[in-house]
Amino acid sequence: MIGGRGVYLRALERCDVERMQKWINDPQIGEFLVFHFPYSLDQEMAWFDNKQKPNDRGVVLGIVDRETDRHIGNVGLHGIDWVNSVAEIGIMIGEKEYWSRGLGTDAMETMLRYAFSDLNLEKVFLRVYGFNKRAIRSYEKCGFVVEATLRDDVFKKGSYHDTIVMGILREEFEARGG
Amino acid sequence: MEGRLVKLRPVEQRDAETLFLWYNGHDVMDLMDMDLSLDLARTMDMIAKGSSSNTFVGFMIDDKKTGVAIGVTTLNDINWTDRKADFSILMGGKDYWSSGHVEDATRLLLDHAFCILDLHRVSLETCSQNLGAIQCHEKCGFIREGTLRKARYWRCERHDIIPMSILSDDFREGR
Repeated sequence: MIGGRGVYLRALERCDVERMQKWINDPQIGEFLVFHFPYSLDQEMAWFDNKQKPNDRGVVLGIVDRETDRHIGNVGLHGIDWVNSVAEIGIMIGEKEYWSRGLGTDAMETMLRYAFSDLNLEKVFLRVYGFNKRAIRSYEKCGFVVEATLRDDVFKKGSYHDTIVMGILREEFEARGG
Repeated sequence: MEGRLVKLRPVEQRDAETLFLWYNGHDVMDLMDMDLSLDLARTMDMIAKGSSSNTFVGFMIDDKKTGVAIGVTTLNDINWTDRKADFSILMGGKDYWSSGHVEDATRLLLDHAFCILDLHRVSLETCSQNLGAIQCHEKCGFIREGTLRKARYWRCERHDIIPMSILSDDFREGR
């Protein structure tokens, strides 16, 4: 368990899988994700089983609201590149009533502290669709800086959209008080 | 596919040794994300896998004058939904970077990407210090999209990475 202010992060369990499948198949959430095909419960279970194998390339944790002890979303470090000490972060708040309440920012900061203070990484970056303004604002609040705009990088809802790459360096995170 | 100076042709198993030597003779920073432990057997395996993949296209670059293979150029991780791919080019000798061969080969591959495969976007990443490569890619129509700060560690230093891309519209306008 990794403690944040209003949330804590914990390992995912088999009983979480059904909830996660519901989240990623929700079009309002899928709009911001990379999935193209509807995801079956079996597929999601297979993904979960695969994650249980020993693996130092990534970690996905559940975000739990302290107040209600509800599992409201996931945050993960993906493709951890140990030579360059860089990882990509991804976050999703699946329970929509928790959107815009600052818990995502809280979970993000908790994961960043884990990435820099425990995993000894030097940089964390993320990719976000250009139309996801709400997310971009919240990442800026966490200290991420826009580093690149990948033009027409993704096709969603009938047209091409930019992908924004944002990054935060260890020294920047530490200067903000970690 | 034939250009002014070069010809692109499929990669064959007989090219494995040449590729293996190029990959291992190069400065690692040029190769970016290449696996460093590539041996001859894995090179051959890679060629076999590449020829049967629908997310990869690779060509040997032959010098038209001499008929000798001078480089290799590829489209990797082709994403058919987003109609995009990553581009790479590796030359066997440094002298080809200034002689127009790289540009010629790049234009042929981009023509294949946009006019045959109907892709929308072709992208690449290069080290910010590799000014020659950046200039050459710009000449071929690639545009810089930002600076990924301190994204790679190499020879005791952290380096910036420059992502670049060309869209199908850019290519058609510039042709």
